Amino acid sequence: MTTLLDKQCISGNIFLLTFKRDDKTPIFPGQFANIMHKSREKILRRPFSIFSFSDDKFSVLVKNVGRGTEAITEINKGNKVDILYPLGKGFNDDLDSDKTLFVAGGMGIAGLYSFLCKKKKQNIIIGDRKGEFKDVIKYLGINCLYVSESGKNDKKGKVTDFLDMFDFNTLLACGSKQMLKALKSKTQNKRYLVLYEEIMACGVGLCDGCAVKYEDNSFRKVCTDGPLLDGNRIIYD
Amino acid sequence: MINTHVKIGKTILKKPILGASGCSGWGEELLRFNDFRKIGGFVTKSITLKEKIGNEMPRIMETYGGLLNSIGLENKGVEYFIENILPKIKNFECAKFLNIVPFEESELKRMIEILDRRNGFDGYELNISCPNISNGDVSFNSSVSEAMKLIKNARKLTNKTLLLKLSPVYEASFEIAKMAEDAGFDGITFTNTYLGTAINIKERKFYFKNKQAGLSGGAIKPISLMNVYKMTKKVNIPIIAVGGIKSLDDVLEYLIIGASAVQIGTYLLIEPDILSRISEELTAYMEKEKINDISDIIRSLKE
Repeated sequence: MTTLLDKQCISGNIFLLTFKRDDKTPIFPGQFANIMHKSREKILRRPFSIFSFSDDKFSVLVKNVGRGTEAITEINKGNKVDILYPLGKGFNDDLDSDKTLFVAGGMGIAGLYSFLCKKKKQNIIIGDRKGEFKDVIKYLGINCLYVSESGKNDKKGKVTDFLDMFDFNTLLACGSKQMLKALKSKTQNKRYLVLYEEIMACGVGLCDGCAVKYEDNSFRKVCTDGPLLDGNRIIYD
Repeated sequence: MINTHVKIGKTILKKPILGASGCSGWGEELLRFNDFRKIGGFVTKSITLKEKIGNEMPRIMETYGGLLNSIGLENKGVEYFIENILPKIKNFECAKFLNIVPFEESELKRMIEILDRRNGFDGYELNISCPNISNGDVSFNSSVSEAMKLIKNARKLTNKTLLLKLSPVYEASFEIAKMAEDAGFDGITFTNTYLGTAINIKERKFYFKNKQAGLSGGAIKPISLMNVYKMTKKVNIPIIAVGGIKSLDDVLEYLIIGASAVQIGTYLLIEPDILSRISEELTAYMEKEKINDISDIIRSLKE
């Protein structure tokens, strides 16, 4: 059991929840937390990327999209919460930040944030199809190329329309399968890492529920082989 | 001293609580969350003779109080199991059963021949009940005569503990269980999931590529409890009950009605330390109620 230390509503139905770290297991970028909730209708935990972490706490960004996430955003500050964390393979490697392009689709920023080096300007594109993440990006203070399909004063289009603006050899992306698939066609001869999201049951490798298929027809478990996977090998549909 | 040991075939379970096949991974995934010296044990994911590719996504869906799954027996085959998994689990200090799925008679013989030479596990749970294989209706579980093909000679193949896992979907399961008892099986694992489905409303298609899926979780517990009760009227060998267990009370209900042990599946996915937790609660309950032996609970239903 861990304690909810802080809850901020960032924008609309998007919340930043900060929990106390109750054990010393090291956390790495790319790992996730599987959070228990008290919804009467849903029984599975809900997995969230660990958005940020320090020695004594960690945060997750939660978008309220259904009964499970609703129950999580309704947890009160100070309450005890049953969370399994950190789960998944963490990224324990060096990224050449000058040569890495980060691409987030909407809530995908929740997964990528822990990879970002906060001290210097990095190559980041955030795609926001419906224009609902502007406040979130502002709140987080992320300096990025903001791409939207709807806004009047924004760069208009899809994230894939703007890749040529950057010089990169590694692409690290998190977002919809549609976006990840579109990016794959632009990443030949480049390292393409995706922080992959899939409906998940246990999150700890028991059930094989969250499988993802590679081009050689083999499956990977998103929960224990990922969530960071080889984007060039995934079959997205 | 409280005795919670239950004997099934040649296997002694320290507690009558096991992790169910499909929800226990290969056992090693449970190690982080459970003290194996204090639980009954677990049943591995299904092992087939050759590698079996799993079903396409999506594979799971939550329902009211339950879970639909369509995983599809994904595994790398028996040789891979022996090379890569058995060495890891053989020293785990709990009972270990291998869930094996043959698609024809000769496969059962071959699999047990390969496996039986090895040590490091207690026995087999012969699974003829999986709903998530789509290569035609090959279910041995659907008819007594089909099941007989696998069951009649199985006992001759091994001296290890031999269980038969049956589906509640087929009425034939009760007759098949009786046949298994006569054929020398040590126990019946019952039930498996119930057939269910779901619709993707936006696309007006089945949610699962396989159309159907297996329903598990709390939603099925009363139905499985009734089915286990019916099974107690059919066989005298131990029944290992499965179906929606998430609390000590659920375990007690199954034991009282006539199961010798239980398996936990779906709730292991939510609470991976549930085997340890309920095992401890069982001992605490027996202490509190001054019940010295688990046999005073098993089949203690007053009718």
